[in-house]
Amino acid sequence: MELAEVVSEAARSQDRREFDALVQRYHKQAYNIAYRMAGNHADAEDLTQEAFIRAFRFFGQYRRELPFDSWLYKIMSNVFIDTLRRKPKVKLRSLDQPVATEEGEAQLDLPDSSSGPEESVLSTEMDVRIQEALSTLPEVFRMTVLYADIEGLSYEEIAEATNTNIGTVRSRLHRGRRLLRSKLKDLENELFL
Amino acid sequence: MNCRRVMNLISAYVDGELAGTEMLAIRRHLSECPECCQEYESVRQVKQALSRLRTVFPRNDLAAAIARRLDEVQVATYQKFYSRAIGFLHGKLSPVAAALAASGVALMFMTAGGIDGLAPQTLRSSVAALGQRTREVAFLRDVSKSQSQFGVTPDLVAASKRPDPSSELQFVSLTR
Ligand SMILES: [Zn+2]
Repeated sequence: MELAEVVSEAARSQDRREFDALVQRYHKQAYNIAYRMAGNHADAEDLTQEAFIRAFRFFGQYRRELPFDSWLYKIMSNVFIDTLRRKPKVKLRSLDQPVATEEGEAQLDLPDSSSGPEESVLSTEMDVRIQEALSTLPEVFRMTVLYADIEGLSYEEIAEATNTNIGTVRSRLHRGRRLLRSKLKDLENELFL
Repeated sequence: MNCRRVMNLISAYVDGELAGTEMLAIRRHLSECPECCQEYESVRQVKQALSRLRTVFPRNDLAAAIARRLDEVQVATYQKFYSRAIGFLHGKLSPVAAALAASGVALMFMTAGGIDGLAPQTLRSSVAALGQRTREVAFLRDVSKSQSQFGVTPDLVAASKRPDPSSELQFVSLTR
């Protein structure tokens, strides 16, 4: 069995080396979107880890001509939906409530930076309010909106990532953005120039 | 194009995801319809607000944490492999084994006389001989890589089923 060990060790490390490099390259990007989906750090981390682990299990099916992040998002969408199914509704409801201030500060560990004009990042408060509004959206709407407006995926890519067709993506975006808009109505003056 | 239709397409219009003729028709409509124009502004602003959300960073050692969990995935796989291989050897197979090993990919065979390294040229005949004595061959996951690296003939590859992606390793029946 010694040779067998050597053989499988070699096979293992080949895939592992390649995969470790992908983890290194994509984990921050994946985490950012996971955070916006899940609404908090603990769940974002679980989601990111699960997505990578599932990706590794299925790595043999990954077609190298596709961008890895598109493939990872497809897996992450599935993990996200699966996780929600297993969780009690209460946990989801809690996202509707205002987030404690410390957590609001803690989750945004970027410097408040850039006093630049239009395209600058939002203030912490605005950011938290939008996150709250996002968390009230039905999950598939939330995912679709995030893929479109944070990741900038095309409708075709979103359809692939969320396992649906372009018509459905279009209608989820339409409805998702409308819902967001109504949730953010009271922020109109601060948020929308 | 009427207002109802424009309202329904406005999100896709903002994303530039409509056919050219539709884009033009909506643009024309917006220039003369204040209600739809307001809807357009509102969608555009929501999209813009989302794009201004901050990038949220994970803790510094997340990649390392993922790597550690991947190690566990591997261990579990190994255990599966060894328990199956050992069960296999102790079962219907008399201790018969041969292994082909090279640069990270390998086919593993259980044949008589312990573990031997097989040259690519001898692989085919070994498989044929093996097929008479045993019915099962353990494949490492990536059969196609083996094919290109060792020149395993397509009929051998065809004889293996596509590996189940949920298990790293599979025993497949050789029906020859
Ligand atoms: Zn109109």
